[in-house]
Amino acid sequence: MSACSANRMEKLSDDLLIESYFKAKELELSKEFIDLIEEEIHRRSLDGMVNQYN
Amino acid sequence: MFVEFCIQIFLVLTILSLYLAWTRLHPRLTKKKLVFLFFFNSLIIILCMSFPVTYHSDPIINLRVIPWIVSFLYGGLSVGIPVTLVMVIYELFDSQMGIGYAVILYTMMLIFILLIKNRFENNSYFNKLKCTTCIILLYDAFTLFVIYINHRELLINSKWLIAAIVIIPVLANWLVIFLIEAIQANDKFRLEMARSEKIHIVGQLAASVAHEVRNPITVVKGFMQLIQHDEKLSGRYHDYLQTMERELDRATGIINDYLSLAKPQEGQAKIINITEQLHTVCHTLHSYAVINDMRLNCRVKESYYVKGSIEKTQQLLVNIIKNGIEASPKESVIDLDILKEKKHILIKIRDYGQGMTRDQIEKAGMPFYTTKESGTGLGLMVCYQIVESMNGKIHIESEPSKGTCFTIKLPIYKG
Repeated sequence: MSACSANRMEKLSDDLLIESYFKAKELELSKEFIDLIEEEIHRRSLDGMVNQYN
Repeated sequence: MFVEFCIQIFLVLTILSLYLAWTRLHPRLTKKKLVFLFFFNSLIIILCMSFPVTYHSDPIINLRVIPWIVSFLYGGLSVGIPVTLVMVIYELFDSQMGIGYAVILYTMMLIFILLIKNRFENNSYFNKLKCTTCIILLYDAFTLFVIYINHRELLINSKWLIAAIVIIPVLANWLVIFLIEAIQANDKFRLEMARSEKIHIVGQLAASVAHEVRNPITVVKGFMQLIQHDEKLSGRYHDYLQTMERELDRATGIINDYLSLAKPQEGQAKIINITEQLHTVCHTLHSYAVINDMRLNCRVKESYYVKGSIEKTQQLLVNIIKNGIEASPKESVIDLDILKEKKHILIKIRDYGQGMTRDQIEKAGMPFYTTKESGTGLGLMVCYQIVESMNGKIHIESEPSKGTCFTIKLPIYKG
C-alpha cells in the first residue's frame, strides 16, 4: 500500500496538485479521489497552502 | 428361517454398500453409475430370489422388493424398467408364488412405485421413509395373502411368522434408505465444503489485490473527469473519454465484487422489510429491463421481515434479477414472488429465458464459473455468500430453453 501511494502522483507539480484538488472539489468528484489527493498534499506538507486558499 | 432372513438382509446390504462405495470412488461417472445401479440391483434381486426365506423348504418371501424400489427411486425409469424385466424373467423361470399372483403383484406394485416416484426426489428423508414403507407394507400384505391361500396352516400355526414377514422387510428397507440417504447427504456436504473453501481462497486473494487496484482506478477516473470538464476539449476526445470512463466503471464493478467477497460480514445486520427491498430493486432495475424490452412482474404485497444488511440484500437481488434479464429473450417477463414456508420465506425469481443444464446448475456459484460472454463468475458467487451469511440457501430449478427459477430461502425474523 505505502509503496504504491507514494509514487502515485509524484509527477504532478505542487501547484497543479493543488489546482486539481480545488477543481475536483468544485466538480464534486468522488470522495475517494479527493481523499487521495488530500493524502498526497499532506505527504508533501502542503496543507498550509490549501488552508490559505480556503 | 431366521438365518435365511439374515442372509437376505446381508445380501441386500452388502451388495448395495459395494455399489455405494464403488460410485463414491468414481464420482464423475454419472452415466455409468446408472449402468452399475442396474447391474448391482439385478444381482441382488437374482440372489434374493435364489435364496429365499423358506418354511419347510417352501419359499415364502424374499427381499427382492427393496432393490426393486431402490432402482426406481434412485435410478429413475431407465434403471427401474430393466431391473423389472430381469425380475420378471427370473420369475418366469422359477416362480415362487405362481405366475398369476406374480403378475398381479408386479402390476400393482409398479403402479404404486410410479405414483410416488415423481414426488420422491426432492422430498425429505422422513417422507421417503414413509413412501417406501407404504409400498413395502403393500408387498407384505400381498405376500401374506398368497401364503394364506397356498399354505393356510403356516399362518395359523405360527404368529411369529406373520410378524417376521411384516417387520423384517420394513426394517431392511429403513436400513437401506438410511444408508443411501446418509451417504448422499455426506457427499453433498463434502461438495459444499469444497465450494466454501474455494470461496474462502478467492476471498483471501481478493483481499490482497482488490484494494490495491481500486485506488489507482480512482485516481485515473478522477483525473479523467477533470480533463472532461476542460472547455477546450474537442468533441472527439469527449467520446474517447466517455468510453474510457465506462470501461473504468466496469473494472470498478468487478473490483467491488471482489471486495465484497473479502469482507462478507461488512454492513450491519438490521431488520429488513424484504418486500420493500424487492420493490426498490424492481424500481432500480426497471429502466435496465426496459432497455432489454423486458418487464419485471412483482406480485408481492404482504410485508416479510428478515435480518441482514440492506446493501447486501439489494446487491443479492440485483445480481440475480440482472442475470435473469440477461438470460431472457426480448419481450418476456421476470416473475418475482415471495412465499412463506413455516419459519422461512422463499423469494422466487423466475425467468423464461435460455435456462441451465444440470451441469451448469451444479457449477453455479463456483468462483470464476460463468456462462455469459463477458462475465467474471463472481456475481452469483457473491450472492451465495450473502445468502449464506444470512443463514439462508439458494436453490436453482431450471430447464434448458424453458427458463430458470432461483429460490432464495431466508429465515423469517421474529421480533
